[in-house]
Amino acid sequence: MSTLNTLTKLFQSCGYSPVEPAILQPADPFLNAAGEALRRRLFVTQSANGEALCLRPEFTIPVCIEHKGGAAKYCYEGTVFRQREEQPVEFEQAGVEALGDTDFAKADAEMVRLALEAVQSVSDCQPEIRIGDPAFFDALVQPIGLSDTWRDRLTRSFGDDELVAKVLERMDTTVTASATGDEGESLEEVTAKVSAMITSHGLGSAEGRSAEEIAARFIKTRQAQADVPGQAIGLCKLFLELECDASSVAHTFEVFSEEHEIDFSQAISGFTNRLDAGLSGLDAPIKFSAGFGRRLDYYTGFVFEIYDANDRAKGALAGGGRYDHLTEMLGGEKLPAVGFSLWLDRMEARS
Amino acid sequence: MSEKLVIAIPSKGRLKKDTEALFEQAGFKVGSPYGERNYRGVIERHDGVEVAFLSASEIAREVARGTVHIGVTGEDLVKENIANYDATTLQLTPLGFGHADVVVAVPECWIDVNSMEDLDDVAASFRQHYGRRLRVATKYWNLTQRFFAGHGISVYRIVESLGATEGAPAAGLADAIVDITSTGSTLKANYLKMLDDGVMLKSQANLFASKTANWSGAHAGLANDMVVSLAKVLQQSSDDRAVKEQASSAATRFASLLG
Repeated sequence: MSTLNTLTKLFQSCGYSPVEPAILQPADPFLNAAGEALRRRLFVTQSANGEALCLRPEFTIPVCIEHKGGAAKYCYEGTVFRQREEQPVEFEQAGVEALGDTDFAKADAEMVRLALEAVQSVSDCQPEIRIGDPAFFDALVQPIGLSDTWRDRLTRSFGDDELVAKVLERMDTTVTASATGDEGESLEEVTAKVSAMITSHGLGSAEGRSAEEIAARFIKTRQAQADVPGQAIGLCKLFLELECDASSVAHTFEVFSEEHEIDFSQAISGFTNRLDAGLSGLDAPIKFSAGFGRRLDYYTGFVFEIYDANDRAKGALAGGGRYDHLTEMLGGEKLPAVGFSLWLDRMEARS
Repeated sequence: MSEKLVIAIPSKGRLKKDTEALFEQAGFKVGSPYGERNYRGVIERHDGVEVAFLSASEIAREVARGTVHIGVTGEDLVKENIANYDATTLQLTPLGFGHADVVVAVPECWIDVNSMEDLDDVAASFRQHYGRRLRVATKYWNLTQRFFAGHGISVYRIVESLGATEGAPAAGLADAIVDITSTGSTLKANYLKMLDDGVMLKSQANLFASKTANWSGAHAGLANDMVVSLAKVLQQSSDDRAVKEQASSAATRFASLLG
């Protein structure tokens, strides 16, 4: 039996309905959701009336676009297409999406369990699971005395070690005045000034940024120039290095809490709920990395990857997570959502 | 096809005039014996050379494809339009004319935005405020993507603009732009301002050699004479120290291409 058949059978037996999104997809939803940087990895073409189309680079977005209504569980398998330099540009993926399940902890744990079973059903590797949860980072950056601007910059670079390091470095060295103008002007005065500029510059009818938002950010960045507390940078660095077994996450963060007076209790209880909902009984080691996350802004919560412990260099065999903002971003109603996909090209089929 | 050494020269405007003047100074006078509007020309007293008058962006493409041996075109066009420009073209020397900076500019009324970091902040929260991504109008898709990625900016959309890019924000077609500017006066006239660290590329006309063309036979020697003479003129007459410096090593670079 082929790998794909094995997987579809497994997913179906767990209540997931197979869907087959078209290979040729409108490009806009991918570019809107993931950003312009994705364009370099897409195969883009045009329809006769000029609409930008692309070969599907993944399944999650097409599955979410086609979804109508409330809760549903889908599975898929097929070829995806991405511009890559040293690997084949078309390759096989399979995976699932669970939409609308409001029992978050249970749905998260179920994803990891199913992904692990899927990997084990088609490959002889020695799986190891890595988990990340941005709730911990959010809990860290709230109370350490950062301005909104710096906190936003840190939060949105979370998941990309290089970017985070850059932001921390800038916090450390350059607290330059990026805003100009009279220090004393009030929000109302600045708003009126910007509003007058917008009108006299002919931008009044354009759907551009509003005077209110520009003025509010102007005031906010003016305040951001205030000192960054020196200990905040050190704390971030300490935090990002934290790694432990999933079972000792609670202990690790309780210790960190006590030492640095930061309240992680909500993040810890959220994490513990996942363990209790089935994550703790899995047949593979689970590591927690404090700095592990995805930068795409529709990913909203926990993320995971499964590796072959004997060959980590070939990359994740499975990757997934929670993306509660995606359905709404694609124009549908807001639905909690979690899913994963399998990199079948990285798994040697079992003979 | 042609057994001749093919030199591509911009087909119109200031760029054509400046290029022809430089070539003439170097002893290679460009002639148009087939008529001013013909797209082929000659170099007087050098029968082994054929001149192709092409648009600057065609020159970038044809040098990369190898149908042209040596061409004069803007660095911006090569870096924008040729995916693997390092593998297909060799930048011999800047020529001291055709200056144009490719810059990121935003509306003047964005008084909170002066740097790429500010733009990153605005792009990141744009969807939350306005229900769509920040739009950047440009014809420089590739340069923009590379530059923005280098600043960690990913959530924005490029809107293709083939002309009058500076007008896009006022027309409601884009929020910010990436375009070329030489003096900044067009930006100002459209109430746009350049970001402090928003210069993506300081471009000017360059002499490019093709890495994919057939350099066998008489081509190489003739081309070498031409590169050496052009470089000498630039070293003697350019008032830009960077141009002099690059020109002084152009012949060495060209020699390495021929192996």
